[in-house]
Amino acid sequence: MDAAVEAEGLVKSFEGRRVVDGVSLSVAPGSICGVLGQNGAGKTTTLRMLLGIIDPDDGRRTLLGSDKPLSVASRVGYLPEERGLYQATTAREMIAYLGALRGLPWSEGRRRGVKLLEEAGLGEHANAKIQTLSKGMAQKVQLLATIVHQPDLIVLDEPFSGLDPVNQGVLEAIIKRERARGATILFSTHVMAHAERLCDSLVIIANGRTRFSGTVDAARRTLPTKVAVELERTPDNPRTLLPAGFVGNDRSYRFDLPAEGLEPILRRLLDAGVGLRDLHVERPSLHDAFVSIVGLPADAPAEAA
Amino acid sequence: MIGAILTVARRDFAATVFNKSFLLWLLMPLIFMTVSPLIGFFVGSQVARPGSSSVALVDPERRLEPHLIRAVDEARARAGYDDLRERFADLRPDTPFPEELAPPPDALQSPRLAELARPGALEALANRLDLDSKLGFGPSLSSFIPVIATVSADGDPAATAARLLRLDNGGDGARYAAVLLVDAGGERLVVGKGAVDVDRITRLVNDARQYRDAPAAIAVADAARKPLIVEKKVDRRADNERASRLLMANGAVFALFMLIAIMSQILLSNMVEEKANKVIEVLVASVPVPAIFAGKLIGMLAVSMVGLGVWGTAGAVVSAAIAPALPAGLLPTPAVGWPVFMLLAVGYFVTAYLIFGAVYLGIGSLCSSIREVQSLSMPATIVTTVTLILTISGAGNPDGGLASVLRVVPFSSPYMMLATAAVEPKFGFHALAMLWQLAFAALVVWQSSRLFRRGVLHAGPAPKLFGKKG
Repeated sequence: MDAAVEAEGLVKSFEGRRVVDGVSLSVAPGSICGVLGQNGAGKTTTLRMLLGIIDPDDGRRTLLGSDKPLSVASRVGYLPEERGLYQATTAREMIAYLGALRGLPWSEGRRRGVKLLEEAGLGEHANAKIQTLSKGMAQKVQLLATIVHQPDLIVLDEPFSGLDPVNQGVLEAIIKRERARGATILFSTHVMAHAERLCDSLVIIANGRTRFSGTVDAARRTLPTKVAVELERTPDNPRTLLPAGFVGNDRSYRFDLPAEGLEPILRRLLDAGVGLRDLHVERPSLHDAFVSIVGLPADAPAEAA
Repeated sequence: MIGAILTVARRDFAATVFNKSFLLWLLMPLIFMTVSPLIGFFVGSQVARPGSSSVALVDPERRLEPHLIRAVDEARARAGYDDLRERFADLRPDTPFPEELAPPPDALQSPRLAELARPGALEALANRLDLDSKLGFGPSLSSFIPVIATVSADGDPAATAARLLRLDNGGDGARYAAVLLVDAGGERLVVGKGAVDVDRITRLVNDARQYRDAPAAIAVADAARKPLIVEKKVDRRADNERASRLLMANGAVFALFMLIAIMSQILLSNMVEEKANKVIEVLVASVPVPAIFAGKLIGMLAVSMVGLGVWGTAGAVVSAAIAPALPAGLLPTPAVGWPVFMLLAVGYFVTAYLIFGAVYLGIGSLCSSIREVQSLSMPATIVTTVTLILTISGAGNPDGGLASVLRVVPFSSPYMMLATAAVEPKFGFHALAMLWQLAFAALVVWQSSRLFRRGVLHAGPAPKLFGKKG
């Protein structure tokens, strides 16, 4: 099946400054894709271009198979980074209105709104005005309004920002539930933990360019796995026992896991009679991979391993 | 697209109408009633302008002209002399009254009166009596004696009089209130519009006749008693009705203007608020920008229709209750009749609202704070205020050139056309005017929606009037 979201070479400048400079990405239907990047990397502008809020200066995009995003707006849900609700409107009416904008009948929107609010633990606030809700509650209301019409594609811009850990967990559960329903989810974040737990694929943007596109594991594999060993005795000549590039001294050493694996090294160490007191295989975190990828020169995109 | 427009309109309508402040808004007519006396004063001064107290003299053979001039001069001198006498009595009540101010003989051919009629004679007398001549001679000289202007006749004197009074187009814009025709048949005064003191003119003509027959001055009493033929060419009742309709036209223009101004301000603040609370991004991601724009316009239009409905119903109930106690004919019927006038009022409200609403909505999309609203809306406010002033001026003379221009200029056309409907029983050109206004409104809506898109999210190229992109 075609990608739910596809972009190629998106470019956008504001007042002569190129904010997005050739972003490309592809999101498989029914998957969760995270767009990672530092503040100002161009994530929000990219999402806005994908949704048709703003037009790219160059490049092409398709959303649910259409190159006119607004033509499929009724199948899309969007939570912007800058949250906004009508303060004098009740939670239920707000959800119904945003659903109605996506083509859901008002009455059905109200019914689903109440149900969603109850599921999210806000049932008693269904008829409360937004201005009376806490920031976290209002944020949840906006998320529920984003999914009330059961969209095929959900785009969330920094959905976790401003939420406490408990509500972050609730939001993660909602995202997983929507994916289980069959929806495709694209969200931006700069918090690696969420992406690591949720995402099937990642797009890392830095300085307006795509620096990485692939799975979370592939991102991790852009960095070598580290091995730490602690020996019983100090080897006479560690260079003959350990891979090139090792660091350490006396009995503690660290080195990159070689392509042929760990077994030949362990055999050499045991044959040399230095003994093996401890061994750790340290897989790189997404955080490490992100920092590494973003830190690369702009013209050297990281490749998925 | 239609569904999106109606969804946005529905929300804005509900959010406004089901709000406590809407009740305050509905009380707006009370404020109108409070300020209407002031407006009436201004409008009244505009409406009273047509016609004047000037009298044109058409006397091709100069049968009466020199004598009438003398009669006017001496009448002025007499009025001025009376004024000096009163002033002396007021300023020096304890001083013996000077002989110089003794009442002159009120007979014609009085040498003393003829002497006082010479230029500067009254001022010299005032100086001699140590009265402050700089105070002038009060209103008696300038206002109570009509200005007599000699006009050459071209062809038939009667046709000349009709031309001078502009009787062929209802008398509006005529420079003269009456024409005095003098020929072999005698003297005829043809009265048009405006304030004419027929008795005073009759006295002047009688005086002039006696000067003309001076050698037998004493014997001309019979001639002086010969009545001046006075013809009234303009039906005063129709004249009054037209004046009332002009007042109504101005009232309608003012009411329409106030309503449009209020609705535009609500739209403006609505848009700024929407930008401030960030909802706009969700809207822009959900529906096309022109749909948001049109939805907001239609939503507030529906709000104003509710207001009009409430005010109209309240007005009808109050009118029905107090109508029996009012004198008949107090409220004139508009020239096109009440039902058509009300329909036209609604129609012109809609077109004016669309034009000005779209302008203000476009301005609102560019503003992110009240301060920006104040500075950016200033030019539009100036334009609308100037439009109101010009329209009230133009409505005072619907046949004038200014009114014609205002009917065509899109920003003033709805106001001027409504004013015209109050005084002119023409129907056809209202349809044409509305089509023109709607076409212009569509242009403004289109252009403002481009501004809106640019202003709301800084999306797209900078808007260019009549440009292709955006």
